[in-house]
Amino acid sequence: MGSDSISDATCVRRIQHGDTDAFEILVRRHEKVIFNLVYRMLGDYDDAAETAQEVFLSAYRAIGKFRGEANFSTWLYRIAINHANTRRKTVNARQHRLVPIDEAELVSETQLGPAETLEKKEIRERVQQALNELEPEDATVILLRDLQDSPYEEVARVLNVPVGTVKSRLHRARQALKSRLALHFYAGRKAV
Amino acid sequence: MNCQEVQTQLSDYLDQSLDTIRLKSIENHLLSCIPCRAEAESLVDCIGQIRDLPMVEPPPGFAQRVMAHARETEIQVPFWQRLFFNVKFTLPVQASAVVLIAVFAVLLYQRETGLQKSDRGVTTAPLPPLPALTQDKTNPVADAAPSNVTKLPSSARANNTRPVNAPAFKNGAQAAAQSVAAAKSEKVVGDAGEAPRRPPIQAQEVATGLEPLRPSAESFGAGGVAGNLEQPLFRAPFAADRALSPFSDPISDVEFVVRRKPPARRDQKASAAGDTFSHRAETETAVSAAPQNGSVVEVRWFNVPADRYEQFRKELMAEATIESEKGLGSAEKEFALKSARDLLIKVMVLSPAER
Repeated sequence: MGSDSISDATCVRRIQHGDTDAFEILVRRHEKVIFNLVYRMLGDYDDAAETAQEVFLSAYRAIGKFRGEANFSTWLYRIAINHANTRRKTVNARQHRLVPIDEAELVSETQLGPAETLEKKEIRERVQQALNELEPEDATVILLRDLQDSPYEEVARVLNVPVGTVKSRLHRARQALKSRLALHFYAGRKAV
Repeated sequence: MNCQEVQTQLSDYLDQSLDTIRLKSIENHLLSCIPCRAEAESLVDCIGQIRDLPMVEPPPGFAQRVMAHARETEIQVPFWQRLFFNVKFTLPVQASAVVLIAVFAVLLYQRETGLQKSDRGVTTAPLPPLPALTQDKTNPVADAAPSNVTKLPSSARANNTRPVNAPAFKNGAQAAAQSVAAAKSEKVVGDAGEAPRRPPIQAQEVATGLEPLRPSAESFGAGGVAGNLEQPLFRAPFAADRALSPFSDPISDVEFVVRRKPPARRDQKASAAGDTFSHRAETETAVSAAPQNGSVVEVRWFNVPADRYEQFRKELMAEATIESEKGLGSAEKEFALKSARDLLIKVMVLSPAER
């Protein structure tokens, strides 16, 4: 039986019984999503790598208490958001940093031409800067809904709030992001 | 719908999370309102910027590093979770708790019932005084009970108002079953009960006053009432601390005053009784306040199921002459039968020498 056919719940039970290798299935299954969520919340690749590792290790340590009342992914999202927000406060204390590495080397999407790549890179840096400047609560709801494409219900479960709260919070967060983006794009054009 | 309402719901509109009427209403408004349309377009652009963010690959070897750390980390799994790893719980915790409580309650109830039956067995089991039972060789209760009496130390067999219920301990359940299975008798005994009704006491045979108890059941059971009443009576004097208290004398349902018939085989036991005459004299003087004329050499107490009262009476008549009888009224007898309780019978035995 391949690792893909084993459900998260089965892996969790195995881990709870002492099968550490089952955790590797979960790590490989969720590492990319968790890493990207953390990375977009922090805006720094190295911080994201370190934080994502802490997220998985925290989940591993606490998996004995996981009773399966929520999906494992939901539970993992919560841990990731908590760790990212904590890390974000530390980063905020020492000023935001722009994405320090060339994302074009890391993205797994289509190959772009040099001009397009440069433009895309600038846009992404500004979007990321706008995200970094948002309140953690607003950044979280935007990333869950618009980056991860999670439905309202799933966002509500992760944030442990009603769906109506998710809607209103999302509206407010988008408005804030729009304002930030307008500011950055205006400043960018002015600089150019 | 005005501009403010539209702009408030623009986010939901773009996510298509509104009902059809509102969606259509906002759509119509956006067609006609340029500022709101511009606002919507900027919001769409904003969402698009986020959605266009590429998925970044984690650092190479990320999973291996995580696993390397994980293998050095111990997870704290509760013991019960390890224990029931392979058990898939389908019942909610609350339902499981209810089932457990119910099982515990049933077990507790059964245990309590068992104890009560055991107690009841103590009160009803030993029926050695009933001649019919003592003569019934197949009756384990009658056979077993007296042997226990003989094991009692003499001090324990002293005169007292406490039940001599030691024989019942080993055969409580059997005796209880036997008393239930006993044949019912509907004969009315005696005149209206003068003695007040009382709950059954925990005694099958109770020795009161200074009367001695029979030391062995065989002398009581095999020899019938007369044999029982005469031979074993004076074997052991009663300890002073076991003396009858006037406050603890139980009130009988039925009271007999009987006189022994001199049985033919009395001679066989004369030698055994010969060395106890001094005790007999002591006993007789001690009970001089008995309600009947003549010397009462022994007062016997019996716990007899109501439905076996007639049987008891007949066999008593066969062994001794009934001088007087204070019994139950018909209504009380019927009530006793219905309630299936035991009758406390007091038998005062007069010496045959005074006849």
